[in-house]
Amino acid sequence: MKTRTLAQADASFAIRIILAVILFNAIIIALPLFYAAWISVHDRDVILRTEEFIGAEHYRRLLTNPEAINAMIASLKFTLVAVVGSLIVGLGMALVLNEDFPGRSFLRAAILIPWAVSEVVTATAWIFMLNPTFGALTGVLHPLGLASENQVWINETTALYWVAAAYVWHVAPLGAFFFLAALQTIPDGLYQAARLDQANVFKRFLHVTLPQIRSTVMVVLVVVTVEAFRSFDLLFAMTRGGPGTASQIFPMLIFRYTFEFSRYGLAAAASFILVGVGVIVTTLYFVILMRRRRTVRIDAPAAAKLADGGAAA
Amino acid sequence: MTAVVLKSVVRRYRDAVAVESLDLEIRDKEFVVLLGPSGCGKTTTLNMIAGMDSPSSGQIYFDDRPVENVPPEKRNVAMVFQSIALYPHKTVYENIAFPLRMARVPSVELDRRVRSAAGLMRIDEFLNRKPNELSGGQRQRVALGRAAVRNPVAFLFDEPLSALDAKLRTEMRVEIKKLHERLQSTFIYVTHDQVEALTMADRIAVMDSGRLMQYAPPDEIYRRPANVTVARFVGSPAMNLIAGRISDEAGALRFSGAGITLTLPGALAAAARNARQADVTFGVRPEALSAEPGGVAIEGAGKVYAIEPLGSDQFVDVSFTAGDAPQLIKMRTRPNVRFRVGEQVTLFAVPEETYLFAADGRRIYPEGVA
Amino acid sequence: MKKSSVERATLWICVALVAAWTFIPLLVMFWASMMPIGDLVNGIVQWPKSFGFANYLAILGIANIDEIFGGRAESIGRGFINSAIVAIPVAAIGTAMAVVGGYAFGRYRFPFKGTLLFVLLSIRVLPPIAILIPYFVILSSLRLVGTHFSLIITYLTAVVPLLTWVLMGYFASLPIETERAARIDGCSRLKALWHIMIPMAAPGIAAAFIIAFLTAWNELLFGLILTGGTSNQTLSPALLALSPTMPSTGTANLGLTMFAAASVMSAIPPLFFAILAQRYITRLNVADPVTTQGD
Repeated sequence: MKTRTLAQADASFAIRIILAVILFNAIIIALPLFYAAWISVHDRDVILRTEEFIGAEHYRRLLTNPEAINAMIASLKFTLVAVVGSLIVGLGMALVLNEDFPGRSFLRAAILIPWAVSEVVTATAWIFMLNPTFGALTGVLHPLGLASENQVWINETTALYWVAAAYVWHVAPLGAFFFLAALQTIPDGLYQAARLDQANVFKRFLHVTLPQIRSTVMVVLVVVTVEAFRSFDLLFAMTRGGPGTASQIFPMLIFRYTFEFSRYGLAAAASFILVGVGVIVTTLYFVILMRRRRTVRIDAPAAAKLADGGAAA
Repeated sequence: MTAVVLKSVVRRYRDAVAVESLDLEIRDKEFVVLLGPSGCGKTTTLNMIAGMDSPSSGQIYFDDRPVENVPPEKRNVAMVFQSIALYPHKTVYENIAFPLRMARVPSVELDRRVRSAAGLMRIDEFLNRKPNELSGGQRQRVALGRAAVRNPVAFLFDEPLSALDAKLRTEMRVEIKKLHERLQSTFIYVTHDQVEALTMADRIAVMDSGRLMQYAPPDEIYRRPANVTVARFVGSPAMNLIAGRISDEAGALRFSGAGITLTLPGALAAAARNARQADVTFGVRPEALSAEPGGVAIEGAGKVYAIEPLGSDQFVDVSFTAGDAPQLIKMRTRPNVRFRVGEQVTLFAVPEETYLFAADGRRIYPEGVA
Repeated sequence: MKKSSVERATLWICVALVAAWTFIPLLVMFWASMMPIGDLVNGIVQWPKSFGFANYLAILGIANIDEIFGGRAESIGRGFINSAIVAIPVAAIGTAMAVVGGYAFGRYRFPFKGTLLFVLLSIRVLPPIAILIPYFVILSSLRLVGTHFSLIITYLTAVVPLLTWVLMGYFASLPIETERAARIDGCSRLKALWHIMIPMAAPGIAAAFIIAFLTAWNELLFGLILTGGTSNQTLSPALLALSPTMPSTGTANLGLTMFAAASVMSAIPPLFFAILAQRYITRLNVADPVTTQGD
């Protein structure tokens, strides 16, 4: 005779079905991570085939290495520009798409294209615009006298920001979609009441729209920050960290440590530093979020609570 | 002889008790309604009978078989939900056929039973449609068909009519009652609507705050409420309830409170004397009141406060105290009797239809009445 | 709510800006791909002598082309096939795993749920480069480098947590009573999941599939490291290797116009899915279960 309650049976069922999935993920991710940690505290000499435990030596070196520090600063700059840009562009697109105009559904679908194409294609498209010799930007501005014949757009000061711009182009649509969904839940009545109170477009935006989409802003903020910070493909395809090391973000440096210099230990340690900074940034977000609002929810909605045996009627 | 029995069933949550030690016995083929306000525990009870929830303690028996921890798919009950809960991706035919398919009923019999249930609920013409093509009432009939096609231990209903408009509700009440006669099976029905309860039930279990207040046929619930909660909840408009005190004045027991005084009629007075309760609540239903002399006189400065003409009836609110929130007593009269707001009026109550409740809410029954 | 003509004009300007922002980079690339085969000596901004799909035909090997470019184009075709071989299983298996996970996380309570969720979300923060080295070492010791399998496993790790999170929200939004009705009608939990919940979650599942497919199709780093230079090379590394703007890696480039054409071609499956996804992703956020339930 089963003495287990139904709630317990439910919980047991849930655990049983996800067991395989959890185990799979745990092994596939945890194992390599532990191995990477191991590598990061050893000095591997590929030629001499030796391995020597050096503790936190790699970490210490990285934290004092100017190139590493610059790369981290570049990563943070890149992330900042990407996040701010994505928020503004994404929200802007969503606001426009929330209005009624012919061709709206077409544009709503078209918006997703930059997100759907790969970062390599994104890089290609932007290079076709920015290349000094054959690029479209030069081709348009030169005849107008606004640029020289082989105007170099991607130079040492601008490289990082051009990549960030391309990244915004690629990522903003996702934010736009989140925002659009949120905008559509704002009841019309609020705007009408605001109009009656003589609020113009800006005031309506500030006082009606923004408060309602606050939680979405936070979600997009977190998601884009995480994604931008760990992004690699776009930068690699577009500038490879160049010219020189002008646009070298931290993941790019790790790549070079691994494949150009074969300094695996250093690369592994750098990876953990990257993860560490990422975790710190994300935690900072959560701390700020938790203080501002009690009920920020990024995961399963409250409906999950009802799954367990009904409400008291 | 299938019965559903709940013994000392308790459902506790971390910070509240939804159901407190409930004992309930439902006979085979009976139509029982669990009636009560939101939060009284009736839906929780139904969920425990259905298998969607287990009691924190206590037992549930289907015909002597303990089922409190048996999962719902093994209990063989049918259920109709407030939100109707049809399978949106299936046609009406497939919705009704679904439980039979799960039970592996052979296709010829399955088809026969589905069509018969569809005919019973008069939805044959919709068999190939999907739920989103139907109206609310039609969908609820499909849900009824999905239940009726089975041969379950009991049919459970969770406020199935609350989502429908008033006119549909009246029609569906009759349908469900007819269904009960047709199917000759046990019906357990949860609602907060006392009209549904009074019109459909064989017995009503009135619940409040997780407790069973009274369990009796509709007539008894209405005429002989066991406590003040039942009296207040059943009957529309609600029974007039006035809190006050009893005093002995020269041999006659007088009740006074909220601007009125009256002499308790015979049997009630005897019971009150024996019960030795001083703080009581006096109750009388609107239809037991009249402005024509006869019966228990309600003494006080009665003034007509408001009149609600309803065509078939007329409800008159009479105020007995002054101020912003006066004590009102509602009277139901024939429409042809004329009143004016502000007019002085004396109310008279039918003696046999007066009630007295003790301070703890329990009814003080007149002498000679059980 | 009538708009004044000023408001309407502003709206149209904004619409034009949004369209321009979205389309110009793509159009530039497309324009280049439609020009005659060659090196774009005069730049992209020009009226070409001829205009057509010559580059595409060349890549597909249909038309006759210059010997210099011929052989290189094959890697593009192979890249398509390899990416498909990898992306489809990743999408299928990843979605299946995420459906189970999303269903459990979204509708059940169980011990350690919070911890597991936290871990799940944390995986997302991990930069791919961080596990690149250990992955490479482990896979090469298993002699799996250069196989489709290695990429499938890798992408699954990246994709399953994300999809689970997405589907978790979606499953949680599905009505409880419909699932209860299924249980009452005789379904065990698994049968209810299979017969009722999964069909009801179809839009979310479709969106998840698309996201997984795109992730696998578009990925560069691991594709490059694990299959670069082999016959199993996926599309993104293939494109990158032939990009004329990259320092030459030993293989001569394809020529600008053909490279543009190859890029456009590689974007077609994502484009196709993006348009499909548009319908489903909106449903994800707004949590709109299929059809109304008991208005």
